[in-house]
Amino acid sequence: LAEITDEELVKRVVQKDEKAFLALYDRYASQVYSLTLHVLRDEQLAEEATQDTFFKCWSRARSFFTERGAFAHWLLTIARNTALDRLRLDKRRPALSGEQDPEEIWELLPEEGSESDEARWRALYFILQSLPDDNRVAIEMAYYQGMSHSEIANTLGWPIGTVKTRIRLGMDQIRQQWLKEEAPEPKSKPSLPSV
Amino acid sequence: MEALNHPSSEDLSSYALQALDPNEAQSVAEHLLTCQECRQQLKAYSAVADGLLFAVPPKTPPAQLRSSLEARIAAGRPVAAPPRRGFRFSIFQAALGAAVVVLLAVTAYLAYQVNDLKQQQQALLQLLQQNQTSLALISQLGVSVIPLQTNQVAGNIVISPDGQNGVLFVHGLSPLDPNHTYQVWLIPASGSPQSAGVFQVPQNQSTSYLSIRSPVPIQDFSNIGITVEPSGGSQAPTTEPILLDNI
Repeated sequence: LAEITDEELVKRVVQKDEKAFLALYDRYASQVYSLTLHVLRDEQLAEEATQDTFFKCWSRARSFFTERGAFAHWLLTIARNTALDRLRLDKRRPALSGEQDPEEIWELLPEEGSESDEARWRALYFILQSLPDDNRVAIEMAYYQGMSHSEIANTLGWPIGTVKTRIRLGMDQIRQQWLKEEAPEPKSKPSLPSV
Repeated sequence: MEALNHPSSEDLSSYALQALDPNEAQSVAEHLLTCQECRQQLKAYSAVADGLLFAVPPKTPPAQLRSSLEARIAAGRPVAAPPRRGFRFSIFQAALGAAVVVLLAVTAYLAYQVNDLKQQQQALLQLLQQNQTSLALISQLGVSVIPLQTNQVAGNIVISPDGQNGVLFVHGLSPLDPNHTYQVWLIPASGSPQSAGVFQVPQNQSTSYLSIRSPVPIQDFSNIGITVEPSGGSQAPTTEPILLDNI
């Protein structure tokens, strides 16, 4: 199964092929787990969120459409939403996505042909870490903690305008550095430091 | 002026991160429906936001997570018939069966008790009725009292003035088994004895009595007799009388 594409494996998962499903798990468990752990900051909760994410993949694989985007993107979006929901539940904050149907994930994904790909996105890790702290913190709280402007402002004691500016500056800096680093199709994907 | 209506770069970048408050997000979403320029700007921010999904160093999850997930999926499969658990299962069945048997036995016993109490209640009601009738009868003026006497049994019969109602009091009779009863006969000078009713002798009581109703005056009969008959009585005497006397 190692040579089979994600999309083909998903087709088999739709047919309830457990081996195909476990092959997808082996491919993406680390990414899903690390993302949920980054959001939840708790290994036990991250394990539960990871399991929930893959179980949604198993039970709702039929809602994945190859022509609308990459499987990894779809799966990690589910993982982020699952982790954020759990985070909001524990913090008694109103849920952002609720029991989100995986079909609705498509509405959150970029339009087809956005020229994004997994390899280029991974470089963002290094760019993100290089941002000024205020900009990085604002972006991380928004994206990985699911916090709104108001919540970030209350947490950090910043005016809302400052929060918006920090996010915008950080996003612009990421985009500019990302474009600068963008090169012709790399032969090998950048490797991330293992944790 | 139109440019003033565009969302700011701050709003678009935060929109891409889903960080806007709900009312702001709604406003931006409505604008994006009709503004190609803002959609293009958002596209760049959205690409960055999507990249953040992958901008976390991978970390291998615990090995048991995979097996837990497999078990969770397996739990959703149609379940095959569970294997027989042999001795343990049989013990459980036996215990359950025994409990059911005990429950049925207790239920049957309680039903029997209830039925028995109903019969006793009915008998007491009849006795009370007889008592009231007898009391009313012997309280009347002009009643006749005829003594009855044999070797072992003695009694009286109290007859109403019209002769059609009477109360028989008997002393010295023994209680009978449940399959037999005492039966009273009014015997004409000629013809067959006529049943006047049946009665039992309660335990620990020396006197028994029976209310008698007769279509003709009791004094018109020549004799009164008591025999032991099968439970419920007989059409005609089947045993020798234990009491037989003139009226």
